[in-house]
Amino acid sequence: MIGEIGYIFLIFAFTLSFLQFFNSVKISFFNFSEENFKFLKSLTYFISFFLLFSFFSLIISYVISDFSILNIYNNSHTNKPLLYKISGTWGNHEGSLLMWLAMLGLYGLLFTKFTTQESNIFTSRALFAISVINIGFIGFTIFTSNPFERITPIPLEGNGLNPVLQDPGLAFHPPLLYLGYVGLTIPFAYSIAALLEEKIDNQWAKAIRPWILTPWIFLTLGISLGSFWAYYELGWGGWWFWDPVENISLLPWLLSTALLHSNRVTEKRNNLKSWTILLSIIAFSLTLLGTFIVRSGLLTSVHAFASDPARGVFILSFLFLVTFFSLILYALKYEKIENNKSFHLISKEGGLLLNNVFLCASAATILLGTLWPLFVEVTTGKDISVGSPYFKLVFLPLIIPAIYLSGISINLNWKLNAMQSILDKLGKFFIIFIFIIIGIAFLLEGPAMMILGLSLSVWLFLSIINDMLDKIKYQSVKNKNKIKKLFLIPISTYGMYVAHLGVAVFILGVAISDTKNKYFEGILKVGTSTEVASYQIKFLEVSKNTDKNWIAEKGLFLVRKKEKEFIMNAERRIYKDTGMPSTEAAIYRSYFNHLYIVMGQEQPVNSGLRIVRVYYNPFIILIWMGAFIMALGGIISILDIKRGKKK
Amino acid sequence: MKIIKLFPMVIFCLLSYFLYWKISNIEETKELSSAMLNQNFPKLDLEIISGNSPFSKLVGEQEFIVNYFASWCAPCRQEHAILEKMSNKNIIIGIAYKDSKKNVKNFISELGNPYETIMLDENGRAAIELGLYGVPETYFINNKGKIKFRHVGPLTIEKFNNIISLLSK
Repeated sequence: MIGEIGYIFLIFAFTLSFLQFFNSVKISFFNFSEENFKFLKSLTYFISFFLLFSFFSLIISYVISDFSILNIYNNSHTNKPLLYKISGTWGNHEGSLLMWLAMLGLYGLLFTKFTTQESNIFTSRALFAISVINIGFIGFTIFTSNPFERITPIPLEGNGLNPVLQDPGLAFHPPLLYLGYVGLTIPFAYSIAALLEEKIDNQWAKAIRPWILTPWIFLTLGISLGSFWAYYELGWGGWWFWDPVENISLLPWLLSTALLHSNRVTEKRNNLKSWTILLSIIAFSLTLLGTFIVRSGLLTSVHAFASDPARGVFILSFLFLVTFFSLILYALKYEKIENNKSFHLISKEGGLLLNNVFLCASAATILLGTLWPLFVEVTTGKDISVGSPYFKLVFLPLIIPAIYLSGISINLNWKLNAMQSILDKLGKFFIIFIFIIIGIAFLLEGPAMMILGLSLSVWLFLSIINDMLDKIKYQSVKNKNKIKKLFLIPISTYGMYVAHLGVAVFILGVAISDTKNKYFEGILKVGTSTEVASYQIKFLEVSKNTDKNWIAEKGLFLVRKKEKEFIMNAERRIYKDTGMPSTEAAIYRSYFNHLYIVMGQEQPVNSGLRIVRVYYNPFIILIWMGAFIMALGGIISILDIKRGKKK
Repeated sequence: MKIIKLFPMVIFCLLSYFLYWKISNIEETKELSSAMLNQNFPKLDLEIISGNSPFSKLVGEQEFIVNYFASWCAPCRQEHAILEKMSNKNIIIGIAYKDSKKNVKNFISELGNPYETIMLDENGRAAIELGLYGVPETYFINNKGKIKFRHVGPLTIEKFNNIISLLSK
């Protein structure tokens, strides 16, 4: 019954989306009337409610384990804890699409309610773009991936959920990531509306900013949570694997980061307009491309859903139609919107433009590397895979200068900067920087890459401090103490500082953990010990116990460092319903460092021999902490927009 | 300078065309190959639930089909109707995978029996010998006792007929 309600809601939403489409076309291109606009708004609200409730009804069906729904039969089990019954809703292709739709509804609702655009024609034009996306995605769900499909006879028990997905990290990773992906629909809609209006100005850029920041924050959190999950659940000991789907999720992040920066130029200097528009179109297309690649079975990865070429054709056609017409519109209106004011290279806008070039180039190389195996397979018939050596080789040379540059850009002013004043501002700080780097090189042993990474981090950090001190010094208000002056700096500037500080922390984590990590991989018998990075690790015993839906083998390890002694538990779980194993790495944290133990299968059986991997990852926690700080910076920037509205 | 505005679209069109070309060819490559193709059908030592062992009179004499299924597998239920239809023209041997005798009998009495012989692969040993990918999975054996085709996933009538026509060639 609940399943039918959910399905009917989905069909209602689909039908209303057509109404939304026709109505928005009518009032945005033919005759506008306030009454019709109100109608369009309430249509949008209804679609949102139907989509959200359809999703809730699937969640409820999961909670009550209604196995008459094929999707639930395939992906759930009565023995599963409640949290994973709920997260099972989006742990599969059909359910995750429905979640996608619910979020699309949510964003449509928020956009209609909170848009700061004064022109209602503009809003209805943006809703026109949203209605096309609604039709495409709801249609895709209904026609190729109905999550409410029934089966008879009704099975008594479900087929479970992939055990590696039974983890809190993964329960929240997809919703966050999807909030990011789907959120990019709004900048896209803004851009289409702006192209139709042929008018892009500071106001437009200001209004779009929170809608870029929001998905950016969610993407940052979602990607880093996914990376953290892979780190402790997959037991590979690393945090980023250049897996095709990871790469595909990184592309919208890189593009939206570029978009945030170029939009700033549009907002402050009324420049780079067509570039900002193009970036928001491409960022959105890349999320569609990602959806296509993950769900068509084109590439294999840990993320691959059950593949079905028919679905692939549907998304590809949709991707093609949406992007093709957007880019045609872009080409047609290009001259109307672009004023091509030239600007000085040594200025904030110059720095941000260069930053965009680097970010986009790195996105392009990642896209190329991800799709390259397909090109090769088509042209030569060979199966190849592109792995991390390629990505490290091409990504690092692009991102390293971008980060040095961003340190300088933070310190530059808008418009023209005289070379002399820049040198004055940066001179002292540059000397400090050189001293610190030389100090690091002497004090810490490590490869050149580590020194390079540390220098990036220090550089960013110093440039933030330098700019802050400078801003305090030149605050126009006189006779106030320095503390009071701190409050005069705009909140959005603090948001920018915090976000870049996050980048600095992230790089620090990468530089140290990637170059100074130590590991042991080998066979250990119960009772023997090994040593990694001055930790004595003794393999004590393996105990077996049964939990609600898995059988756990717990490996006990006694770890000793100097006088300190403690026990670590590395688990291997065998899930009862599927027989699939999963690993739970034991992680011991001291300050920012991790000691990480993974225990493998007993081989041969009853021999007491097991493959054990121990990693010592110094500073690795800074990687996720940095990502979190970046997101925090985004949140601070959003707060400023509210304040800006009051003025 | 004017051409630059069309540049993103041209790149995008090329990419789309390539992806379309790729996806429309995915069906051909999707069929899993197997080391067992063109090999003799292995002698499986399995408990027989109903019918006679196929090894005494079938192997090397006649064309036949081996269908791996399980009572707990939803796609197998869906496929069962097709097997029923095809069973009057073809000899189908069923092997129940990781299943129990009782459940298999219930399954058959509920949905009908298209199988000449039903065997039970209780712990999946024989499946390893065949390189089973999952259930349902179907092997087509020619009259010389060699495995000629292997299909992973539920069969459709078109697919079934297609393979049968190729088998006799």
